[in-house]
Amino acid sequence: MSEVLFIAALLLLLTILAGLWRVLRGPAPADRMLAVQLFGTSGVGILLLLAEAMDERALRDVALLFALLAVLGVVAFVRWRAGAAQ
Amino acid sequence: MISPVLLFDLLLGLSLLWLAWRTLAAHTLFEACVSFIVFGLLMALSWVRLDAPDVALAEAAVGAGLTGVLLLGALERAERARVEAAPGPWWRRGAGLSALLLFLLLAAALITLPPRPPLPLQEALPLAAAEHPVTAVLLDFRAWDTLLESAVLVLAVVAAWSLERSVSPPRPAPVCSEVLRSLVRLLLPFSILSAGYLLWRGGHAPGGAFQAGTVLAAAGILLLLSDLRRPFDLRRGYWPLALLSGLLLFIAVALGTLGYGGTALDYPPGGGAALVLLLELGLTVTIALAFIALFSSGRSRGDE
Repeated sequence: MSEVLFIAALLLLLTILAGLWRVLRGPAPADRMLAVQLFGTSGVGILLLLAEAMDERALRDVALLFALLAVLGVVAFVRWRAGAAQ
Repeated sequence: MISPVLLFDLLLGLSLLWLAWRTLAAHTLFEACVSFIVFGLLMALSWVRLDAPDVALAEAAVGAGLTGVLLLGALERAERARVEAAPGPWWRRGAGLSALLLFLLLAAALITLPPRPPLPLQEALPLAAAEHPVTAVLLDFRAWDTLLESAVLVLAVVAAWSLERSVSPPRPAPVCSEVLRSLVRLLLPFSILSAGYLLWRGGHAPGGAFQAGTVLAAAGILLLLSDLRRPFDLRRGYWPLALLSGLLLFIAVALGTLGYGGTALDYPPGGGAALVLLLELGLTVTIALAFIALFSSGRSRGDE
């Protein structure tokens, strides 16, 4: 069972690596930041899968923190761009 | 056939190294910031794979969450002040050399470390004021270190405040959208609830004051970013007292235990758990306000 969960986590990690391409290429800052936002979501998925696979309940708390704090970077980014556009 | 576990760990490790390189070699400061945020995210996953959920929690809170906001805030000011993005070649060489020297020293220290007997932590744990080993070390066995660390946090805020005058005043904030306000209204109660949950969990599982304080700070920063709360000066009114509360509480407990049993921070039998929870509560407030102060320093002057 844990093997299957690890394969699913691996697939999610591969999607993050695919998204890294967007982070590096851009071209616009918003492209990069949106990719980072998606990583937060994938990260939550990976953590929940690992929590089951490694039988470690505390990882769900890490996922909770990811979900709560991922929004911060994007909000700061949007405010920064909006300020720069003025 | 490589097992998926090994493949996962390999990919994670390699992308970490690559991201570290991208952060250093980025063309613009913004690219470096974004790479660093992703680095923090993957670093948290790596700590999970290293069986260190406590560190993973701290890294998720700071590395993947707060650092991004602080870096973007710093970037905004650097842009306005037209700070040169790239330091000169000698600075780079000097920094690279010092990093190499530090690496060699650490490697030498690791290699020459004498083999140690297993830590007596497991035997001492029943005597501790907290069930969870990490909390027991942080707030009981090595409470003295944690006291000084909270002093370091307060010092960082003082340093940020004293540098404030050298930064240009903030740009007038753009009008905030209703979407953001609704999001913050939804998210705030959850953040506060989660902070309380993490604080309470710290006694017997990964969690504690640092993680709880960071979640509270994130809530406060969101509140400031969404214009629901006017920027305020943490140096006025009762705020400095609140900022110092963790440190003052710690000193009070140290003095109290010194007078009671003759040893500072040696908790009386039976009262340890309550004292640890009290200290964690104070530390949560201090950590949350310290992060908010670091984020908002220089932003409140527009109101004066």
